[in-house]
Amino acid sequence: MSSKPSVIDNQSFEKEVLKSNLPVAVYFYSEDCPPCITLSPLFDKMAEAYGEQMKFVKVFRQQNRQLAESYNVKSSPALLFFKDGEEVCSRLNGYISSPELRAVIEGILGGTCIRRERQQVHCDVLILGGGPAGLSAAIYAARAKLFTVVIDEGLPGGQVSTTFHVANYPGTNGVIRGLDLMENMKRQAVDFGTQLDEMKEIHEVNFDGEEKHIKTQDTDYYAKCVIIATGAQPRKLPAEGEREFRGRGVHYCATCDGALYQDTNVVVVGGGNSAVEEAVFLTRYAKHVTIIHQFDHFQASKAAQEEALKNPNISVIWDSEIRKINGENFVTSITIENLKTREQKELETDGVFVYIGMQPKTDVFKDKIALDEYGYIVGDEDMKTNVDGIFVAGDVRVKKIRQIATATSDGVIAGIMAERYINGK
Amino acid sequence: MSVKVYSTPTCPYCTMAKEYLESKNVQFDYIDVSADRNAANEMITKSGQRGVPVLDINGNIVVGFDKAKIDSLI
Ligand SMILES: Cc1cc2nc3c(=O)[nH]c(=O)nc-3n(C[C@H](O)[C@H](O)[C@H](O)COP(=O)(O)OP(=O)(O)OC[C@H]3O[C@@H](n4cnc5c(N)ncnc54)[C@H](O)[C@@H]3O)c2cc1C
Repeated sequence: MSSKPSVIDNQSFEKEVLKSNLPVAVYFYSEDCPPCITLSPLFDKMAEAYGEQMKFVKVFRQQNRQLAESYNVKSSPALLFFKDGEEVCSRLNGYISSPELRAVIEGILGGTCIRRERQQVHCDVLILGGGPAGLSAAIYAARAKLFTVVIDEGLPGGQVSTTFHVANYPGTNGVIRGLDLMENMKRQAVDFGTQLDEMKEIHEVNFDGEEKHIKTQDTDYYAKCVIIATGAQPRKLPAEGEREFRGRGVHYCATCDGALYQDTNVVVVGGGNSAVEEAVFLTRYAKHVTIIHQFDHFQASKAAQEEALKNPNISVIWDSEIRKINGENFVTSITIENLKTREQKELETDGVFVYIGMQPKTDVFKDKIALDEYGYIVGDEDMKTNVDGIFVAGDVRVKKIRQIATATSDGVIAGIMAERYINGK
Repeated sequence: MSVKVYSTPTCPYCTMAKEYLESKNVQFDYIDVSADRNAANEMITKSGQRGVPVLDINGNIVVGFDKAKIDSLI
């Protein structure tokens, strides 16, 4: 039995791995990958020690992309283990230590590790949230040759992905689609070596001690340093029937669902920039848009206000809040209350688009890190939180201005400070 | 396999759904409900709601870009 790992490819994979009589360790590697440089000698050593009972093979990921993708391998290094043609045990990613690798090998040989288990990822910088803040941090950390992983509970892109046109992000032409802007940021982060793990919901975090541990449904992440960039989400309308009619007349994304309201009458709730801008957007489809606002003036910028107020298809009801949503299968009317006179009245409408501010996504961090009274994370001007090795960036941080440009700025600072933190150790 | 994607031109999750199906080499009809009133009604009847995207995969209705559910149906 040869004791050196052999290099295989797409063609020989079936014969060498799936049809092998011995269990097989498959190492996906690539060039310019710092954790691969540490892993390669270790893999050779294991091949020498266990080569009699187990086969060790290497796959150059960049030249065998199809094969890698068919096993959902998106980054290097990735170690997969096979027995009788099936994947077994947990995969290993990132910086893999000798005891960890040995434990898995012995588990397979000893027959104690037969099922697919939780995946483990060891990295330098773990970024929670793939919006503009998280991706900007990733660009800087990955460029500094740190092994950087971004996890997102949905698809990377954040709130910007649901914004139709972004008019004010410097350096873009003023009509860039939110989705395109984020696609660019994503590609930039990945090209510098970032691993993007999407659809990962965080179940538990442990920030005590040197190594930070974050658990998702199927993966354990271990990181030297964590950047929290989980952003914010729209605040839900506090009115009776909101939950019941969500998607059936109550909506939080005009660019998504507005087009289904052709020739109807709709309502927009709120008075900030988002509310006023989205009201204008909705006039593309709706016959008439009524803005309902709790004060007697808008908080939106002058420019946005003027555009809305001069539009003949937009009217405003001031000093009022929605109390109740009415309808059968779909919304047919709302009950609103005038906050000054306390008078209630019913208003017929086909749809309600809600823009009444945001709330931070920090539920999983409660009691783990300092939050302000609204649930935002407290960070200083270097994006440091009160916990060593944990940084914060973007809308989730306590600050006054929440825009894409301030989110990317926070991300840049957090990325650089993370590098200094790791290299200063 | 018959796959329909009900969508609107400005909806980001529709674009994601479309790109995802393309990456999996799945053939599908892309229906713009903002331009086709009948299709809009068909979508609302099938899914009981007005949010996009809605995917009809062999008669199974998926509301939103729910990747796990799409994977289980294609
Ligand atoms: C309708 C609308 C229009 C806007 N228009 C503009 C504009 O024109 N110009 C401008 O500058 N700004 C605009 N903004 C504001 C801008 O979008 C935000 O300031 C910016 O997106 C904040 O970036 P972020 O990275 O901090 O957070 P987000 O964009 O919120 O991204 C956070 C990411 O983290 C993920 N996440 C959340 N919780 C978890 C978790 N527990 N685990 C893993 N991942 C998680 C989310 O899925 C999301 O992808 C607009 C916002 C809205 C809602």
